[in-house]
Amino acid sequence: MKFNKYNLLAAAVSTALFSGAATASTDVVKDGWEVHGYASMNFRSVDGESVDTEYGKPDYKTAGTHGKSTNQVEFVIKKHTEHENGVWSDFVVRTEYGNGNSYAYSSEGGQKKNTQSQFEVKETFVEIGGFSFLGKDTSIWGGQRFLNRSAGILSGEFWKQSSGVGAGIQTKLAGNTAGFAVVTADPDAGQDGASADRTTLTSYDFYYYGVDAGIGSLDFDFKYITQANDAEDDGFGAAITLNSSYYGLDGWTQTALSYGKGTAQNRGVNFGSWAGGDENQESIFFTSYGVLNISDSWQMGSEFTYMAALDELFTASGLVRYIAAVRPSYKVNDNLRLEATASYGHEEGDEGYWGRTGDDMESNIINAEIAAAFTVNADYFGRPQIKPYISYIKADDEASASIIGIKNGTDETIVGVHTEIWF
Amino acid sequence: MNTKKFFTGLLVSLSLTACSSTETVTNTISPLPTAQVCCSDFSQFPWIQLNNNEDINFQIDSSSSVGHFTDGNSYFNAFRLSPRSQKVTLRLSSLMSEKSVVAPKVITLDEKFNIVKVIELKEFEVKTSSAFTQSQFRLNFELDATKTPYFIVYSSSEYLGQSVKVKHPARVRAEEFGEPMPMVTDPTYQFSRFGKLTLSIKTESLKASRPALKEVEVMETKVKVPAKPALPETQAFYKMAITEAVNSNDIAKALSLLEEAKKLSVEGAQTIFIEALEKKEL
Repeated sequence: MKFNKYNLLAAAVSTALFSGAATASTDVVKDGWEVHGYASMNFRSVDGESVDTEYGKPDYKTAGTHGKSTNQVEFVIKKHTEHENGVWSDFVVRTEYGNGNSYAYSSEGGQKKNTQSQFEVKETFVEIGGFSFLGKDTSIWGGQRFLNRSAGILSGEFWKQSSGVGAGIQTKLAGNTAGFAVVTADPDAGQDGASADRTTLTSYDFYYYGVDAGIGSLDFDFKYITQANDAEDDGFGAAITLNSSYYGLDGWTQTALSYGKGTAQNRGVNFGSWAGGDENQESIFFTSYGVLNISDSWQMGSEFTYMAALDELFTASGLVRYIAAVRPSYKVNDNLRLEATASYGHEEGDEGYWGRTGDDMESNIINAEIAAAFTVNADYFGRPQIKPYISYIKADDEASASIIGIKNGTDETIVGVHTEIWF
Repeated sequence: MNTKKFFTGLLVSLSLTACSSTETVTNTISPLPTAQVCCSDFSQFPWIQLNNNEDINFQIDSSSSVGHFTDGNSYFNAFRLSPRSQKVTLRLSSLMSEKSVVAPKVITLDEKFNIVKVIELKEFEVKTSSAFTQSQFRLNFELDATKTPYFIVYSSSEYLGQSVKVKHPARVRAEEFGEPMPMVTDPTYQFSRFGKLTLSIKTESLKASRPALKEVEVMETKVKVPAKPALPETQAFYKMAITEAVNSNDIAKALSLLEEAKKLSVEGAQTIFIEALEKKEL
């Protein structure tokens, strides 16, 4: 049985609308704009050549700094307003240019991600809360956003999110955060030759966060995902997440287990334009990552992530991926931090998955990296950081190396300088 | 080989940077001697007059006055709201820079310099940096300038020796957008006697008042009360006396009588005076 999306949307937002008796005070007690931003410039070189691969990082094969984005810039504009009667609103616009490009651009000519334009509005939404008739802990939102995202600390991969256009309501139930949202995404948005009948994906998100579990807090997610004009048109996913200390030590971890089927095959709760899949697609996903605070100078980040097909995953029968990675970090002083990263990634599938046979069927990738992060204690205009690094990647055979973009042999050394600034 | 050159350069730069040691901040927190206290009570404080609306930057530094407060002697800046203001909204920010920040307290006072309220540090919010602002303690508050025309901002000695750790902008971004949590060091700021602050004042309503009682009295005396016409006998007396004075060539006396007659509203006194003069000349 299907949900009626229009009824659910209405349920999410109409409560506020019909209650016309409530009046919003015009007295503004707090109002202001904020501008934040981020820039990431990753200069990579492999024997003098810029490269267009991330060496399997999005597929949990490596964990180094060698991602794409030669001149990524992001701006976030936020307007927060609070009224005397307790009603508040947030308006958030997040724009981004250059995410995922790999060319070394000169000042001349158009700058595209190969052939695609790359200025993107990542988020634009309004959230309003504090209505007396809904309760001060209740808020409603509408627009385009990333909802409830989480990503592995070393893989950098988002495993949970709802990225798209929609609306939702969030409140407190028994002291914990509870929410419902409807988020839509078009797989062919912005693509040439898009079909007249759109295959819009819709995710109905139910979440309940912050349940005390003694050793930490638990978050629960459930998503029911449908797709228009598609024969295999639904699926569901669920995840349970534990937020706690670093396995009993000083630090933090996020540990999650999720299940997804059909359109929710992608880690169960990872919804966006990339979602979809028939009823044969079924997977399980486990991840645990965090940071251990060893001393004032030493920290260590770690991640273990595992995902596997229970039937098929991304149409691959028997697909299994996992990665284990650590990153010790030593703070020399306020201006210099040294990092080392080591990871081991594995992928395998049944004979013939994605047409692979022989050596192609299994990949084992080792990645080792050293880096030095130079930073400035800038109190104004954010914090800049320049991080030179050397990353070494070794595959078990040439077939595995080729899959992740190594052109010759089984190994590759990437030297680069990753420059970032947050403000 | 490019890799070799790069690696050599990296090692050289690492060794150079590693040589520079972390600056050791020594905090000597000895109480300020009473001899430095500027004033015996709040009324003697040096007050800085504020306008209806303005944004000012100021420092609490060694040139600031020292006052005696319940939590010890501290450097302070004291402000007086505009006499034209009534309802005023203020934003006070203590800026975090160079690893230190003033942990402020605010005291509001009535017109007789009695303490109305003490605003502690816990009532300030920690605002992390954005593109145009640095990390800061921030307090938004309202005052009624007719009831609390004075306020004092001081670096309370109660907080000295403590510090605040604020989130690195990378962590703020990661938490907000669900990005991978970065391994960065959150900056820490020691609470200091000295630092930079900003104050923004906005007058929401102007003060209106009735004139003071003495002013009313003065005004009343200046107002001409319409005089009643003089009695007929009085009028006759002055007309006769003016005429006689002119006839006897005592013009000074005639003028004096004319002046008195005017004050007593003797109608036609001036005409009588002129006619008497004309007849005499004839």
